[in-house]
Amino acid sequence: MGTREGQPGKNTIRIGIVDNDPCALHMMSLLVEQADPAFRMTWVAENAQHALEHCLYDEQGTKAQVLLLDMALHGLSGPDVCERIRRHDADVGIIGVTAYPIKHYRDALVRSGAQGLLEKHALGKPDVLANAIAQAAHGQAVIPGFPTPQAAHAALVGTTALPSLTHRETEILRMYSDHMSTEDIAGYLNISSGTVFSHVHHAMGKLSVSSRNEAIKTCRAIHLF
Amino acid sequence: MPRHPFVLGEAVKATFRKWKHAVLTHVSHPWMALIACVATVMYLVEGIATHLFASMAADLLLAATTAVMALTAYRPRIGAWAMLAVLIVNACVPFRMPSIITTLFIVDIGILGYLTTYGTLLAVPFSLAAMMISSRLNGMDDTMGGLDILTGIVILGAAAVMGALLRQIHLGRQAEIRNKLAGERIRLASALHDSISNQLGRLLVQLDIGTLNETQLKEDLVAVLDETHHIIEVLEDPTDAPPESPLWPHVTQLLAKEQQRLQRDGFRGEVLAPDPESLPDIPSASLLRKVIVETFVNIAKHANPAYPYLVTLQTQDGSVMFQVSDICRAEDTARHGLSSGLLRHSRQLEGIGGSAHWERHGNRWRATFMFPAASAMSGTHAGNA
Repeated sequence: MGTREGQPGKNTIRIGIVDNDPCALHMMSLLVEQADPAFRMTWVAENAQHALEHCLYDEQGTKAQVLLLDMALHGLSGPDVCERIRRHDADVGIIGVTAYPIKHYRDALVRSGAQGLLEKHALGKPDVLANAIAQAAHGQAVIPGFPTPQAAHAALVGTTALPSLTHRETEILRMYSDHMSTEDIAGYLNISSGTVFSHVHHAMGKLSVSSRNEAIKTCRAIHLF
Repeated sequence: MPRHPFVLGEAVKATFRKWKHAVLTHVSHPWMALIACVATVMYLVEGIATHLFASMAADLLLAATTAVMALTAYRPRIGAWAMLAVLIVNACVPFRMPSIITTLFIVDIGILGYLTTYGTLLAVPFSLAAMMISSRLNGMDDTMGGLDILTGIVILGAAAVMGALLRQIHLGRQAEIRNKLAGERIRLASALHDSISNQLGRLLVQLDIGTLNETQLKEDLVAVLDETHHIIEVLEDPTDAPPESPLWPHVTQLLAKEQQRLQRDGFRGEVLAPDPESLPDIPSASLLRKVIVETFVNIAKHANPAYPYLVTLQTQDGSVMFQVSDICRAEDTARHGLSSGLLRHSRQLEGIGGSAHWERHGNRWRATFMFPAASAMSGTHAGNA
């Protein structure tokens, strides 16, 4: 199940990495191991399912203390995966990694309970990676504006267990709440009206509502917009 | 007052339909019957015109042959062999019989080729021998030479082959019908299992763990009843089956619905699915839905509610990957494979180029299903062409 056992030590920090690109995964593993002798690779995973299994099912003594999480995983979004982990775990430090500019995922990752977000090209600087991992392992936010694991868990644990909306779904509902028509939304986003309806339908299913207005009301109630 | 032509026409049509029904009810091979009737008429016409009252023996043979050929219309197999016998007699008697028997030999060989597997191997040599004897007995100047015999073999052989070909086509059609019926039975069994049986099984699990209330029980039973009515309607009129809904919105709705059900039963879990736009088309949409429903039923049956279950739908290498993980109940040592429903679905999946496998490590359970994309399948077919 994508596990590599690490060497136990007194101040060892157990780390898990998830990235759907095997080359990037291998690169990050090497960088982590070279960054600090205290870092130990506990497991690596190439998809979200395996990562969730490790985070939710591993025994306490062998569970990863820090997770490096890629933001795009075979069609699933990193923030979505992060939120699912954070709902069940108040301890693991989660650091997002992305090849895109940070602003692309920052807001979503803050909401989903991560402690920081690094660009992949910055991982080559050993101090950046080592400091980020050390801070996350000690329950601190890596970048200002990001929550601590405990605070994020407390904020999320009271929310519904239903899946959260994707960025596109939220965006479309926000546009509807701004009284834009379906045609306007489709034109703005450069998609077809059918796709707009499909996203709304998808969001309604996730939010367990039966109409678009209820979906908008629910999103406002949970401060999605 | 003369009857209106329209009324007369309707009466004729009604009579024709009645006769047709009677023929189809009592005649096992209508086309054979038609050929036999035509052959009988042709033989009779020539027989009456040229050989009737020539001699008592000839008349008796005419009558016997006509009766046998009429029997062929009613009982083709016995009639065809009997017809062969009387035709051989017709050819071998020392007095002239209708010359059409040569044509009738060919027709009879064709009928035997259609009705029997190896009957023509016997019939062709006997027929050829009979024709040779006939040509000698009738005092022809040129009895059948080598070329004539060869021509006879070719013509009779062609008739036998034609009959055999028609037989193969007929058998192929019958096999197709049998396969279709078998497929329908399997489809019905699957529909009953996947919808009604699973839902009832889920209700029993909920009763066992004590999470079922009256309102919910009524809702679920109404849903089972609706599903039963739907299956009955489709069985009664297959053309009335509703069109399949667009795949991905329906799949995500189904995942949310199943998750809500499990939540009611005290199971918490995480279900992740990507944006529908990012998912490729898959030809096995209905199979995916069945796998999803069966998976959630199995979670209710086998998973330990103290641990969250995990379900993801992702893309991988152009295919759609559906994975489910949970922690088995400690006492559930019997879960060493896929359930019967998932096994059946996995066989179907493998048949279309997908895959299904499961793993158990201690109490950790995971099943992975790969659904090939439609584009990948058409590429494979093109590559194999």
